Amino acid sequence: MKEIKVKITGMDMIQVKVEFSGLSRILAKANDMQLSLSPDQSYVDVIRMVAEKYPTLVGNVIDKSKIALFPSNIFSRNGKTVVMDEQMNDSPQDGEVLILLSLLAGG
Amino acid sequence: MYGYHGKVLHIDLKEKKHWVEQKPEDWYKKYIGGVSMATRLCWENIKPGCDAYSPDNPVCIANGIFAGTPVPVGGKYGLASKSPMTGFIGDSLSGSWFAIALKRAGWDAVVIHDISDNWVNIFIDDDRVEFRDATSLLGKGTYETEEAIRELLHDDQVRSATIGPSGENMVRYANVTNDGRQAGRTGHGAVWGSKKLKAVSVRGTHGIAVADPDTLMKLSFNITKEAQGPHTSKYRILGTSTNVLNMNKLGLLPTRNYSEGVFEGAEMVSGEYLHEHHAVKTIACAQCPIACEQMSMVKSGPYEGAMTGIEYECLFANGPNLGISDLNYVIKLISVADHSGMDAMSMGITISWAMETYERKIFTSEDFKCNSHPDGFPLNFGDGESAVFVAEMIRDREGIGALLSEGTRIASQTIDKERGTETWKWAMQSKGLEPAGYDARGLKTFALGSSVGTRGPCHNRSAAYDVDIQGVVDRFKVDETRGEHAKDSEEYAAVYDTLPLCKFIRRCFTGKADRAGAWPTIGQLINATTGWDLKYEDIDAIGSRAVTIKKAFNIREGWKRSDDSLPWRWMHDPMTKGPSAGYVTTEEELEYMKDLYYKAKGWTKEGLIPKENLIQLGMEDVADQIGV
Amino acid sequence: MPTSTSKYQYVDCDPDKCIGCQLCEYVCSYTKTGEYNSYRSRIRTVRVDEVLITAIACRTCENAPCVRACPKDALDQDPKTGIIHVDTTKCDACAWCVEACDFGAISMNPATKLAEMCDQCEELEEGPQCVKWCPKEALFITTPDQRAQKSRRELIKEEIIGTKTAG
Repeated sequence: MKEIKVKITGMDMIQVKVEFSGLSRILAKANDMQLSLSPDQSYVDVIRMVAEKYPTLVGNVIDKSKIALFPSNIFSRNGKTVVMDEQMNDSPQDGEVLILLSLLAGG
Repeated sequence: MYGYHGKVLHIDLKEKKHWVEQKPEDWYKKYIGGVSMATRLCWENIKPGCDAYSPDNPVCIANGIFAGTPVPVGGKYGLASKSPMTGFIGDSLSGSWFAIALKRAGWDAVVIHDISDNWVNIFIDDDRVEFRDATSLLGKGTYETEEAIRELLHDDQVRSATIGPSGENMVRYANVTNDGRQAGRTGHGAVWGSKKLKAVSVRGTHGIAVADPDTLMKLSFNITKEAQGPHTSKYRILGTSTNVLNMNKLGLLPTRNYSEGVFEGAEMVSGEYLHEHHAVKTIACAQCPIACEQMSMVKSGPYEGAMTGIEYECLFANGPNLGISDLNYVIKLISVADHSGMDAMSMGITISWAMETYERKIFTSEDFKCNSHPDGFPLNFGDGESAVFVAEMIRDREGIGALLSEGTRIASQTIDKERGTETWKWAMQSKGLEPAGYDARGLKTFALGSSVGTRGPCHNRSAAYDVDIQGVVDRFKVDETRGEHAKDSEEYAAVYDTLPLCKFIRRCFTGKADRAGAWPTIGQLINATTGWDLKYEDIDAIGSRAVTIKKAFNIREGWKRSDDSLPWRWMHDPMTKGPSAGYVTTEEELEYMKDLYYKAKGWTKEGLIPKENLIQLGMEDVADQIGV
Repeated sequence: MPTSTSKYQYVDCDPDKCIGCQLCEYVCSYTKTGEYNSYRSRIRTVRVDEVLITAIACRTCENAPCVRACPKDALDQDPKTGIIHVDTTKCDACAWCVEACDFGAISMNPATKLAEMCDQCEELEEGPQCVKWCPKEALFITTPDQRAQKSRRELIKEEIIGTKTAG
C-alpha cells in the first residue's frame, strides 16, 4: 500500500494555473490560482477546487453544484481551445493555463 | 389594435408639411418594429439609387413594440436610412426615452423626407408637428442640445434625438444621440446633417394600454427580478468593458490598427481598471432593470471632468487599437466622440489607420497642420494627446480632419490616388464600414458573418463569434457547418434587433439563451401586448424576414457578391503574437464559406433571393422588384 | 420651509441605488389608471447630468402645506397615516397645492381636472407597487426616524469598517 501511495503523489502531479478576469477576478479578489492535480483528476475537480478556495464564485461563475461552470462561463485552454461539456471528465495537461471567461456580447 | 397605433407619421422638411399613413395590422405582424420596420419603411420611401445625402434618402424611425410598457429592456427604437458610408442599408438601434415618448405621442414610426432649407428642430407634440428654427442650437453638443430644447420648451419630459457638431459638419460617421445613448453606426448623423435636421423632439402624454395586462405584468415582474441575478452580473458590475481582458487572453484584442491581438497594456485599459479608478455610477436606459452603463470620468490631469458611458467597442477602438494604455486618454477620446455626436468606433479605427500611415512614413508631421499646431505634429501609436487633437480636427473637419472624417475607405482611396501608395491594405473596413472589437483572423465563422453583414462587418448583427469563442466549432478552421451557423446567429440576433429587446436580457427568461429558451417567453410577451397568437415559428420568421428585407434593400441598391468581403489585413496579414497568431481567412476559404451561407439562406450562388423565398415571408412586392 | 419631520410613513428613494429606469412610474400609473403613462404616475424620477438620479413621491409632511394652501379645502390629511386625500367634488385644479409643495410631488390630471399625489397604494394589501417593483431596491417605505437610523448605520459601515453597500 505504501509503495503505491508514493508513486501517485509527488512526481506525477499535474500543475495547472487557473486565470481569473472580469467577474471572477472581482469576486475572488485574485488574479489567478495554482493547482496541483493527480493524473486521475479532471476538469470537474479543478472546478471543485476553485469553488472550495473561492466560495464567492459559486452561483455566479461556478454552478451551485460546484461540478460545472455557470452558464456562459467557459474554460479556455491556453487561450486556444475550449473545454466543452463532454470533455469535463478529461484530465488537463501539465502546465495548462485555464482561463476562466465570462462571455458576453460587446456593446 | 394593441401594441401599435396603426399610424406612421410622414414629415416633409422642404414643404414643412406632415401627413399620416395608416398601416394594416398585417404589416405590423410582419415587420414588428426596430431594424426590420425601419428598413421596410426605407424600402418603401427611398428613391432607389439615390445618393445618401440627397433629398431622396428618407430618415426612418421605427418604434419598439414594448416601448412604454414595463417589459424589461424594451425601451428601444430603430433608425434606418441609406448609409453614406456603405451605400447600403444603414440600420441602427438606440435605447431609452425617445422611444417611449414617441409611443405615448401616438406614433409607431416616423418617416422624414427631403431636405430643409434652414436648420430645423422637428417637435412632435402628441399629434401636432412643429418645425422649429434650430439656429440657436447650432454648435451645441448632443447632450447640450437636448437640455437646450427642454429649456426652450419648458418641459423636461420632452425627449430629443439630436446631432452634434460632427453631424452638422457632416463627418461621414456622425451619429444620432438621444438620452445619452446613440444610434451609432453607418453615419446617420451625416444624413441628418445633409438635411439640416438638428434634432427630432417628442412629447407624448397619452397612456399605453396592452391586450392582456395581467400576463404582461406577471412576466415583466419575473424577468425584472431575474435580471438582478447571476445572469446579468457581468453587465451590472463591469459592463461590456469586461471584454478587454477576455479578448486579450484569447489573442483577439485589436491592437495598433489590428496589427496584433494582444496588447501589453491591456490590464491598464481593462474593464477592471476602469471600474476601480474611473467609475462614477452605473445607470440604466429607460425601462431597463439591469443597468449596465458604466459612467466613467477622468479624475485628474488636463482632461479632468470628461465623463461619458464607456462600452467595450468604443474602448478597444480608442485604447488598444491606438496603442494607448492610459484610460484618461481613452475616456477623453470617447467623450469627444459622444459629445460631438460621432461613432467612436469608426473614429478610433480611422485614427489608427492614420497612425499606421504615419509610422510607415507616408504621413509626416506636416500633414497634421492645424490652427493650434501650425507646424503640424507627429501621430505615433500610443500618443494619446495627439489622438485627442486629431479627434477634434475630425469633429471640426479642420486640416487633415476633413479627410479623416470620411472614414477609412475614402481616406485611404484618396491618399493612394494622390500619393501612389497602398494604404488601403491597412484600412480596416468592409463595404466601407469599420469592423468591431474581435479580430476575425482567430474567428473563422465570424469572418464569414462579418463579410456578409448587410450593414457591413458588425458583431451585433452577425453574432457569429459566439460559436467560435464558445468552442462549438474550431475557430481557426473552416468547415461545411459555417454557413448554417452564420445564418442562425444572424437571424437570432435579428429578432432582438426587431422587437427590439436588448440582448443582455436573453438569459433572464428561462436561464437558457438559445431559441428554445427565449422564443416561448418572447412569444408570450408579444401576445400579451398585442392580443396576437404568435407561435415559435412566427418568432423565427421575424428574424429571417428582418435579414431578408435588409438584403433586398441592398440588392436593389446594387449589391453584388464581391461586396461581401473582408479587410485586406484579415486575408493576408497574420498576427504574430498570442494564441490566435498565424491565421488569415484566405480568398478560397471566404468564397467557400459564402457559398455555404448563401446556400443555407436558400439564395442563389450570386447571393440573390429567389421569388419563392420572398413570397413565403409575405414580401410579394419585394419579390416583384428584386426576386429571381 | 416645511420639511418631512412627521412620524408618518412615506416612499423614499436612495439616489445611490436609483438607476433611473422609471419602472416605478409605469407601475404606478398602471395601478391607478390601467395604462402606462409617466404623466399619471404619483412617483416621479428626476435625472440631472446623467448620474444624479432619484425619485420623489409625497412625503406626508406634518401639517401639510398643500392642505393649508388649498382655497377650496379640497385636501385632507389622514391623521393616522398622513396620506393626503383629494375631495373630487371640491378640487378645481387651481394648482395652489402644486405651488405649495416644495417637493414637486403633486400633479394635475388634465383629463379629470384633479390633483393627484401618492397614496402609498393604501387600498392594496401589498402596499406600494413601486417599492415592490424597483429592480435595485432603491425605493422603500420609511418614517423619518427609520430613515435617519439607516443613514447612521450606513455611515458606521463606510467610515469605520470601510465597506460601501453594493449598488
